[in-house]
Amino acid sequence: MRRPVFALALLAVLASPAAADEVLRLPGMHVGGTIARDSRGIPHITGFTEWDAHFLTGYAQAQDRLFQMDFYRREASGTLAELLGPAALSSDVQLRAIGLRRTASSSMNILSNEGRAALEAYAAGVNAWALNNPLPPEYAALELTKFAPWTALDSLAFANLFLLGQFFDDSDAGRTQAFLTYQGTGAAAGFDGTKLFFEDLARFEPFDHTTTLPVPASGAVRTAQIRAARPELYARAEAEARRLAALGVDGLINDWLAKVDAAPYFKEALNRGKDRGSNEWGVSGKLSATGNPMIANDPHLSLGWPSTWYPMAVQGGPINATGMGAAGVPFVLVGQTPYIAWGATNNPTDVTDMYVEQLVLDPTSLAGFATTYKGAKEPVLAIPEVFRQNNPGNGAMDDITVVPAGGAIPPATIIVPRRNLGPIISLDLAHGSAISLQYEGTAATREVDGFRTWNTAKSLADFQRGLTYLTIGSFNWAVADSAGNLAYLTSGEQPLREDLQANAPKGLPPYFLRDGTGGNEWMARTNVYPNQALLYEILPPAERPQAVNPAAGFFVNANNDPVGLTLGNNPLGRQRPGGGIFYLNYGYDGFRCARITQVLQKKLAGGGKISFDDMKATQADIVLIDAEVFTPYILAAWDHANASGADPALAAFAANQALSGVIGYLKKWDYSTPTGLAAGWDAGKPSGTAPTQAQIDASVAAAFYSAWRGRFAANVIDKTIAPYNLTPPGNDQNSTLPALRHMLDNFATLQGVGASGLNFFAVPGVAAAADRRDVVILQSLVDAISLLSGSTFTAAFGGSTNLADYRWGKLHRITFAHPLGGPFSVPPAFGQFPAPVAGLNGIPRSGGVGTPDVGNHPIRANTLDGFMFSSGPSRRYVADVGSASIHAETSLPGGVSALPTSPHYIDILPLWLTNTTYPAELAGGPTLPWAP
Amino acid sequence: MKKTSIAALVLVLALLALPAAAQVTTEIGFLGTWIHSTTTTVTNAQYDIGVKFQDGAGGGLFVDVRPWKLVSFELSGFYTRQSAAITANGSTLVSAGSLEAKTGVLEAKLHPLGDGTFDLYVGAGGAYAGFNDLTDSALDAAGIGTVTVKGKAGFAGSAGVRVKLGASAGFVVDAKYLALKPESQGASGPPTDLRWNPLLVSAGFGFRF
Repeated sequence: MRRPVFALALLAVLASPAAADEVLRLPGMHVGGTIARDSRGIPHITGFTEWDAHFLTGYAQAQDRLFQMDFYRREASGTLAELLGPAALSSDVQLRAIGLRRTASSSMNILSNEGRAALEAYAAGVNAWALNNPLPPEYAALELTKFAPWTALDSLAFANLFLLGQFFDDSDAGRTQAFLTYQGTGAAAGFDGTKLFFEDLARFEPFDHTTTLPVPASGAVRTAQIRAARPELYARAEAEARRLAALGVDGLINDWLAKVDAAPYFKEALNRGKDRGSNEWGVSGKLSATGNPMIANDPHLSLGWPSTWYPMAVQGGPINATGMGAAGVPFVLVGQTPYIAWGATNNPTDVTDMYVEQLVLDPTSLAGFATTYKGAKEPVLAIPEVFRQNNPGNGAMDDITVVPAGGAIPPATIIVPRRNLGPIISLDLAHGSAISLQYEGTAATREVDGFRTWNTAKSLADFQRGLTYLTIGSFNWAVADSAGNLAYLTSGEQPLREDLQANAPKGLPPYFLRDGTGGNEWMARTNVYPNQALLYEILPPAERPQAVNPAAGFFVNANNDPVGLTLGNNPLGRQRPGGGIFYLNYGYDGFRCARITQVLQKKLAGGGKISFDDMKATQADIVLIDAEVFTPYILAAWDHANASGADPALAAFAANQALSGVIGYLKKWDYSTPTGLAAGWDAGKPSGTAPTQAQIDASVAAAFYSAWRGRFAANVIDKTIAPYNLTPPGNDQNSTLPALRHMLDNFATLQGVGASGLNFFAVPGVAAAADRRDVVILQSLVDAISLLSGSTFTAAFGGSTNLADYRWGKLHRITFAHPLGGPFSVPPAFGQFPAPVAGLNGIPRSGGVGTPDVGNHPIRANTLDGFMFSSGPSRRYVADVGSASIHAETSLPGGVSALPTSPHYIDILPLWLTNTTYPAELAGGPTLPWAP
Repeated sequence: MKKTSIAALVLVLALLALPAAAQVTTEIGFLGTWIHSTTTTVTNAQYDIGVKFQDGAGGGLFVDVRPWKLVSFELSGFYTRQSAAITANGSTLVSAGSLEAKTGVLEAKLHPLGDGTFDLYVGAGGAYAGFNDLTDSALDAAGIGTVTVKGKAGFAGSAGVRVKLGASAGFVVDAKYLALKPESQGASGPPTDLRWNPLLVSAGFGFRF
């Protein structure tokens, strides 16, 4: 795609904030209101009515983020190509199929009057700005002069897109493909491919067993039983794998994965390959220094430009909230009212199932076929689609043309009513099969009513009432209120599967492709819980993980397994109180919760209390929890190599001077990950200030350890399965590191040989298993040194022979990417934030894989930009909730305004980069006389 | 407020006692009134938000008892009606319906020129006003609802002229300034003290007997 460059002069007219003391009375407002900007440009919005508050929210957001809003609503609606051009067409096709805008239309019908009015007021406000002011500079680059008026539906579609990014999960397809491949290859090559998948490599057991709530004793018993029952699961899986292979499912999966790969904006919308994690924790008044409950929250989202969140304070009518909204909806989504503070993390929950459908011809259908269920034909729906695209670069303004159907452009979306109105996403008419999608977000939901309820909340009970409106996926909530309550809550409507509820899983588990012809259905709804939207039976809300005023006095959640369902390496490992398998998700993050819990427990040891500053410092923690586990293995291997009588292959490492030097760094390492650069950005250390010697030493250790981690994974896993043309099941920490830990922690038993029968530590000529292990460990470190000192990393390290030059900050960098790239991204931000290190992309930043202040990168990174990260804390927030007031501080990775000419374009990014926070304040605007 | 009421009572009693004490002239009259509020109640100075009562109209009756050539005592009552609004920067934000006031004024008046053809006077005393509730659909829409305005006593001052038209009839032009701070309250919001400082400009006829 063409990367436009702009004359800054074009931008000069675009920033014209409203005067602070002006009462705005715009056409479309009911009474009036004010927008006061604080020193960071954050709008403090006061509407004299609720309508006016939402109107002015739309007005302010359009003023600051109009292109971002347009981008997201079009992405959600499958019309992004009408903005960006042909490059977005493939994404439009997929997002049109999922149908977020279709769903938005049905959701509008079940919204409350207040919720609907809020969206309409917001839309009026957006248009009041957009239709009377110059468009942002992106439009000129795209040769567009018009902005299609915003509608309430756009907000709902955007909300659906946001939730899709959090909870839509098509990994069932890739997982099934991997399993089929492993199983089939194993059968042909003479190893147990099923166990290679389930036991050796694609482990569901998290890296660390720390949970948010205590694992009940009964759960532990059940976990043990399930461990024993796994052979039955494997036998079923193998049988189903054979059935699916006969149906040509591999082709269907490949088709789908190819479509996703070819659709960059769709992949981005799905957060594919990005961290969907977050941190939150709460400390009760009993354990806090102030005696008040405190919460901390940093949601980890894509760190693009402009930032995902839109900071704002808004009041009007019953609304009075401050925190983070999103440009596209009129509410504060995470933040506080005068009485309550809340934060959220993603609670990974399996609310997406993919089904293999068997098709029969049906001349009565527009699609020409029907699905079959229990042997009976079931009609599908065909929704005609017309795709359009902008044609930037040809010099013609507003040149939007229809794209004829054909090839990758379908004439219609095919809907399977049985699948919660989900689409067919892959079709193989030759085999008479298809993959359909069943996702919670393809039918009407009422999240917006929940958002509104929180923005009026005066108590924990009010907040909990708001949660009842949430359907799609699940969030973990950290909540504290002015009555002194501290709560860990989870939300969302988790569908119950018929076979799991009957304690008789059929075919493959729900985190694989399921059988669309019967036996794997979401159960029909028989119980209806307050404000339930999902038309299927759900897990009773009382059974969701939750604790009000937890006995421990604190809780931590960082996308980990909240109650330990997967600790036995089987997500179907526990039963519901009333029977049926208690299934929430197939896997969880096992890193950050462990580290944060570790930090808090250390603070609380010996009767200590946790202060507000402790909360902020914990958010800034950059310790690698996996390094705590693996580094002792490296050091033990080194000692082993240096021991007398070591195997010659092992002893050879002892003579490696560079290796010895790196070991020296690892020996004194505290597992932290500072940049170690004067040009780097660390907590409390802005770019331009020199790092301490301790930071430099730690950064060197972090660089070599992180490179070792990738080489170790490659040497242990990839090299072992490569001869069979197999690839690892993933390249992130959760798909790789639990397997490595399992192998090392259980080495005495396994001797390096997996349940599959494959030897992962095969070293020719070395007899003892422990020797082979240590050879692989040390060879991986030698490989890491070679990698970093080699030509690939010349721009970073110049092949230096001085180990002290290998600073982590030269690897771990971030670019805040704008959809149009080029000067719009940060760096360079039109020259306002140039890259701090010459020759290297991005901004050096502390943190690493699974650190609380996170900056995940692919585990097997081996390129100059491979250690860069693109998601992380999209907001930091700590609140001390007193009975009379809430003291809260926050930060944002970006500026409030997306306009390069605005003084608030990039002004608060340095605060985020140094973990500096600023007060979160309520709107505090004028009220009308006599108004409540 | 209590002291003001006692003072007014004393004045009324004195007024009633005067005919028996001296040779007095008593005049009764009626007036048409134009009312103009001289102040706006500012509730937020930063944004210049407040309550404003527009010019209105009404009528009144008076009785003036004049025991001496240079001094008289007047008891008057007015009914006035003004549009009310919440304003910002002087412009209406929310229409607040109409403020209907029933005002009683008791004053002592000084007639420096005596009882001639043109009888100029100035006066001072006390006033008490009772008010209706403010209601308007705009108030409802703004979430305020009905506003109650409590009765209140305050200061009154006046100036005027009586033009003799015959032996008993006279044409009266009177201007009164009232200064009251009645308390008001919406359906669920906090109370607000209004600054109700109207100028009542009246004209009418009086008849002596």
